Amino acid sequence: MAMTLIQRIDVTSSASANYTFSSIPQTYTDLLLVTCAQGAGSNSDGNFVWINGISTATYSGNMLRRTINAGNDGGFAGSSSYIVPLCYSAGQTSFPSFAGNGWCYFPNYTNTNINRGYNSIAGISPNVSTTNAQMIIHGVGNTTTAAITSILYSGYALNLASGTTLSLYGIS
Amino acid sequence: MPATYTLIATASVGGLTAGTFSSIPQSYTDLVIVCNTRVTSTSDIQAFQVNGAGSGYDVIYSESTGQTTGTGTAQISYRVNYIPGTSQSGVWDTSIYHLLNYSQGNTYKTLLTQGAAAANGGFFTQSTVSTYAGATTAVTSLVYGTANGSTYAANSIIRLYGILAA
Repeated sequence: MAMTLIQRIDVTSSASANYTFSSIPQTYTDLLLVTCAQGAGSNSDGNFVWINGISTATYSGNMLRRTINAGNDGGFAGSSSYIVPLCYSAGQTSFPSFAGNGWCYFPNYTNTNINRGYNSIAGISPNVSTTNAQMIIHGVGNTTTAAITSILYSGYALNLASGTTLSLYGIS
Repeated sequence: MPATYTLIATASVGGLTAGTFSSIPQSYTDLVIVCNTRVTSTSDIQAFQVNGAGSGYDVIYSESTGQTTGTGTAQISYRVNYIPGTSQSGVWDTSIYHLLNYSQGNTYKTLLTQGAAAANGGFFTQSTVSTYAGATTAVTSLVYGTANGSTYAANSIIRLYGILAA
């Protein structure tokens, strides 16, 4: 067994902010989502993930963040209907050809005895000295104990631009 | 597709305070440890020791809320992420650790921590670089446990994967 590509989404237009991996196999130990994203707009944006279509205020997060001009700003800790940024996208207008890169790891995603939790690391460095250049490590959780059967990846306020790639792997 | 990311062992650690991955195969390039754990006390710190060594670790770390950064020397284990407990209801540690070039016999071994737990408050997300400088021997066993002796909660698991540069 190994690291197996379950599905890759190649964004070919800038018509939507949201893309969903559905009917995720329940045969792996962990899941890994790898993203290389641009937003169809100006500034970079904080993309997020919903699991199993859950959009209620049942997510919580704890972030370590460093920006290029403000150092370690203490990040964010809180709860919401979504937790951003999980990964980043760079706005195609202001930062052409710069993508935000990230990966998000979902351990033990089929165990129905515990709340879901996941771990992401993401960064963007579009050759500027503003907060648009930053990196994060983020712990996110949801109160559901259901196994993860679908993952929605959202560009938040921006549609995802053509050229964005989203790859979901199974780890076993 | 080559088996480049292989599960070596799963430790179901609920009810335990420590354990050991022993006889680690030397056939991979790097090791990855994935923790999905809680403790039954308020909170604790995940700890690892290579080959049973109880001294000679140093660390550089950066934490989330509170903006704490720091260093440490002469530690008794790799200093890694916090584990949520009764102070954080329903929150689980989801930390990932990379132990690079573990089978090489002439370098000190460094553990990279991508620590993360969805705790609303507190410094439960961390990045650390921690090196064991007590010996350069290959890592053949890895002790895992809670630094302050807390018991892992039921359903806690620690998985060890091998990464192969195939």
